[in-house]
Amino acid sequence: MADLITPANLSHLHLLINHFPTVGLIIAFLLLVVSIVSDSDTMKQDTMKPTALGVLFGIAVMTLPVFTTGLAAEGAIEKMPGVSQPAMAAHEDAALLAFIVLELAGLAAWLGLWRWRRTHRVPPSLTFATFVLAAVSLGLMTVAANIGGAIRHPEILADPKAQVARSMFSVSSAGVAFFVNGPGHQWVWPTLESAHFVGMTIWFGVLLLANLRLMGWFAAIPYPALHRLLPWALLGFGVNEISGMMFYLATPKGYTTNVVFYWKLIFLLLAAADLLYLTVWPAAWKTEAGTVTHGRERAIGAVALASFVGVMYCGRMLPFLGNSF
Amino acid sequence: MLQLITALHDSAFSTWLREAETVWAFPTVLTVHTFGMMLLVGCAWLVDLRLLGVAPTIPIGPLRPLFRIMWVAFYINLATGILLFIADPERKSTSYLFGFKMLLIIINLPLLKRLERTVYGEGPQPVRVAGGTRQLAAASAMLWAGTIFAGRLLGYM
Repeated sequence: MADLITPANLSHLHLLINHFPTVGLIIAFLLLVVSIVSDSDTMKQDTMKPTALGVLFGIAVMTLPVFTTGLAAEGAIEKMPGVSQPAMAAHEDAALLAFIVLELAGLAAWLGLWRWRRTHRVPPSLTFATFVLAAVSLGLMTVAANIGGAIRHPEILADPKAQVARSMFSVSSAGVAFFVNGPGHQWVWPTLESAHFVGMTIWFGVLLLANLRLMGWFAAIPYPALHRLLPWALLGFGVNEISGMMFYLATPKGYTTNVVFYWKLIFLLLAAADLLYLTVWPAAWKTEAGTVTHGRERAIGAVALASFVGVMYCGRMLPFLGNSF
Repeated sequence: MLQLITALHDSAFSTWLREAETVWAFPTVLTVHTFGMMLLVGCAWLVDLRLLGVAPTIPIGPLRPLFRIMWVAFYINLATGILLFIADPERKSTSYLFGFKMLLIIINLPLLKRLERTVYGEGPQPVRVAGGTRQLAAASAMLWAGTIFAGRLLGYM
């Protein structure tokens, strides 16, 4: 697989999957709008709204590899003739803000789903928060996508003489890199690493117990009681996404040129999918004390736990396997 | 003592662990140590959270098997921890951070034993947890967090 890390492939990957946060977000947003304005209680509470929230959470997670392959694509094409470095930096900074707001939308969507599973109702405050954050991130994502398109297609710029499209709505990734790696900031990276380990551990603990219950162990515990622990898994996910993105922005090439990092992303998507499964899976919610589970849940749990160990393995081995650092 | 440390450092095994150009030496030991940490502290925090009153509908008695996982993980990490010490005895034996980490673990082990006895004394019904047990769980959870921080920071000394 290491042979697959070529400039052409990395750019291509970013061009392929960048439609998740753009086209995908539009679809999730429309589903949410229809579920809000619908006068059907079934659509509001049972079908469309949870679907919209689930899709939105999925898009938020999928955007993680979209962002990271963006910097991989940048590294791949930065030396090509006609590619402007300021245009890529402007795209990256606009995308970073859009990404942050989309992750917050994903957080609100997940909390809504979690509450929906417990009470059969999404609290209006969470629906509202998800709607606003998704709308803002959709706007920001459009701006970021537009600037990104102009990197290779300057003819789409409104003012062709401007050379570079900039957005005032952006977060400086160079600023993040300076905070993590700048002179006098030697304490930042080790502290973030420690937090990254804490986040991993709490996420894994919750995921382990919840999946083991659905695989047939801990049979005396009703699954809905364990469901109450899931926000702690999301907390670990959040701590690690923030600390992980800070490492990444500080030294992107240490990651984008290493095949192990892409394996880690694949395992991470599976672990995140498991979190969604643990949150909404109907058979899981119906697992009472003594309920026997099925082969399906066993298989899902085994894949999920192996994937999480894969995330840890790839992360811990990153400095030793491949060529980073 | 110092001679012993130096001899250990210069031994063939220590040198192999530290310098061998293979992922099966230091990197694998370190990764297994991380795996053990994830299992041990992950399960410990689950018990601590429950005893602190999170997810109060979880019955406490049935959480017992978590302690079996924790003890297996503890011994995995004792073994890999000894290997990591052997790989780098000169710096580890003189490091305050390493001593601090060991101290946190030594304080935490009796707490873990106490929590284990508490959980084994519980039945299959969800119950309220006594105040003393909550304080114990909070202390143990924070000691684990401190242990993770100290261990992780050891890599940067």
